[in-house]
Amino acid sequence: MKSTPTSWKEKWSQQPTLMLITVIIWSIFIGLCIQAGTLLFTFVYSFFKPTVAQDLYEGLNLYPLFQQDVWSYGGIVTLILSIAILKAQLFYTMIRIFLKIDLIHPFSKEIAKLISTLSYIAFEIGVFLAMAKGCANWLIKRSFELEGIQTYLSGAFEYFLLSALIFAIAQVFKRGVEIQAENELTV
Amino acid sequence: MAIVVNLDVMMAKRKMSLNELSEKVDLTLSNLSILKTGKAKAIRFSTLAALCKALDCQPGDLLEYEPETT
Repeated sequence: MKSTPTSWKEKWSQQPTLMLITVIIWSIFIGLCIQAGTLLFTFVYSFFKPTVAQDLYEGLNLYPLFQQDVWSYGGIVTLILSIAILKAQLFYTMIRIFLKIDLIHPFSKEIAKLISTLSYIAFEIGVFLAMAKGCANWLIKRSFELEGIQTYLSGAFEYFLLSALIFAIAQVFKRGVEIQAENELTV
Repeated sequence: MAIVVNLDVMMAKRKMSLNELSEKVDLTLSNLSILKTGKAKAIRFSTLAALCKALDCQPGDLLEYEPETT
């Protein structure tokens, strides 16, 4: 029976696809951290220098909303920031899964738990996106200016679907853990 | 577990060590230990046949049913 690879070099040689995916996920995670960090910084800074709200992150201009109602501005940006942080957390959980997973003994309780966590985070993102979109639509109906915000608030349905799919995979994985444990104790 | 494996009894009768038995049946020491300590969930017929051949006994000498007391 093959032994579990312990070092990075061993994993690269035996499971190169897995390691390549891990590197890609790390890159995405770093990008999402930069996005969340930038949003947090510009959000806090906008209360000291309101013109910063004209470009919170990649052209997101909420300065008119800031001028009309600071509380609504704070609420919407908090929701957008929470979504950004949750997306970073989603990819961090994926990193943990890909670092722990081993194709020789793939089924473990820890990974099953991480996959379940992944589905809960995806569901939370969907909920926050739906809430934020609802708030934004309500503000737009009340004649508040929210230019270009829709691109940041789309995809709630997709995250709900992702959550359901990952949840189903988590249940299958849990069963796989049981079957693997039984197989390992079959002499 | 309701099925008890009397491997150590047969090994004592045949005066065979775990290492010797492991070589004869081509099973690792850890797997034999799993069997001996009653942690095994299942046993393959091929393994049972190899054990019976090595210990010159019948499956009934190795396996015993003890009803679980609840």
